[in-house]
Amino acid sequence: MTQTYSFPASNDLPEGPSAATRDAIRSVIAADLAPVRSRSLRERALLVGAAAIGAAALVAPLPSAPGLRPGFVRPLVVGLVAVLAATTTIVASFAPIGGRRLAARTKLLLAAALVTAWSFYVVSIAHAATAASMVERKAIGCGVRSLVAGLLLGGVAFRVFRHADPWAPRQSGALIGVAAGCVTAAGVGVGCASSDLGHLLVGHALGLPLLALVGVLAARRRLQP
Amino acid sequence: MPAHAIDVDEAGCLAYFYNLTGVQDVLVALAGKVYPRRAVMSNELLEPIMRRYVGGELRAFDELYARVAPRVLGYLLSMTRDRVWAEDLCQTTFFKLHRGREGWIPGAPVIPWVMAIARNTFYDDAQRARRARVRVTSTGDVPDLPDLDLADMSEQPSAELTEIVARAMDALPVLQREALALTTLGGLTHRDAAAALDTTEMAVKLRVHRAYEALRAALHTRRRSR
Repeated sequence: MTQTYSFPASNDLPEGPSAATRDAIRSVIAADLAPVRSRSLRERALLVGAAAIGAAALVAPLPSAPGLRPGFVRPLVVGLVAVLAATTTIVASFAPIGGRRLAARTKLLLAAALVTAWSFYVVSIAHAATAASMVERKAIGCGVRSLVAGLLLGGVAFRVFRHADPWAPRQSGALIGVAAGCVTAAGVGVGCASSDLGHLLVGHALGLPLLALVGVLAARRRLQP
Repeated sequence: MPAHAIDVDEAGCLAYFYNLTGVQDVLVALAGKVYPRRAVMSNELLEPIMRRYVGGELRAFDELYARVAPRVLGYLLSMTRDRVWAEDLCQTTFFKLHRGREGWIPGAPVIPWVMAIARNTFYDDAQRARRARVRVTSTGDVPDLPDLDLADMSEQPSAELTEIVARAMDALPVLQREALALTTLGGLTHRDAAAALDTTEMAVKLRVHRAYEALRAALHTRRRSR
């Protein structure tokens, strides 16, 4: 059994906010409507990449630095790979890949994987006969350099992608922190002569989770619209 | 406006009402009938408008607002069930959109971005205010659901069935209610809704399907309990 009803058909847009709401919004927008530069993804990637190279160079001693000994090829290669990987990771946090953004869970897994992989690398070069043979430094010295440079790089990435992630800003912040930490730890590694495991873990790896934490704390305010 | 006569499937326990914010679309969708579709919002249409707005053109903002605001409000209404609250959140959403407009990456879909901002605005405010979702009478009591006589539907006050449907929607799990709000009430495609919710298209379809099933069950139960 069916019952028949009739109702007016409408092909209009659904009812919107009231005129008062519309006017209130419009007045605020109109008073503050200055053109802003919304950079393309390519431009943002280049900016982050340049910042990553700069941050790594900031903490890596130049070949002509006093006390520098030969044998920095491997850590230099590692540094370059870290710059490329970090830039790609940071950009991928905000850009759709194949039409889909990285899920929040994927970002967290990626951050954890980066920390783990970098820690394994650091452990692997400990006590190695071919460890980077550069300037002798204390662990705290390497750690502070890595942390400060990582904060600078992370700050640049946050600025480049400001208000760009309304979906999972904390996860993006963590990923930025870890990526920045990888770059600067790799840069520090280019110029560090130590092959002591404790030194490497404290000075070259501990910065990653610390920077990830800073990224998470700063993300809601900086990355979310 | 022209009237359309449509058949109601009594076994599906459906009725049609109009001019009820949000409820109408849900009921129509439950019926599985083809409702005269509203203008589809496409990202291809919105992306150049967004670019012009970011470039500082007020007229572009007016165009964007005209196309997006009703959907945003529809979503917020379905989540808040309170017109005043929803309009307030709608304002906040657009202020956030304005403040964060440089964060929009040119070429990226506009709808998921805007709806994600609306979603965050709702959850932030709901968490902050911890508003009660139960609507009370003027004496502060929770009203009983009215009895529904489907055999005499044309004489039934529309507000009563609205209450039933609204209650059923309130009882939905928040993920299902969100998916329903974005697709049915907000007019988003499953793909755009998935992007706004940061999940997969299949997950959105599943949530919407489960929401419909839950609403059908609630209406059917109500009818059978008479």
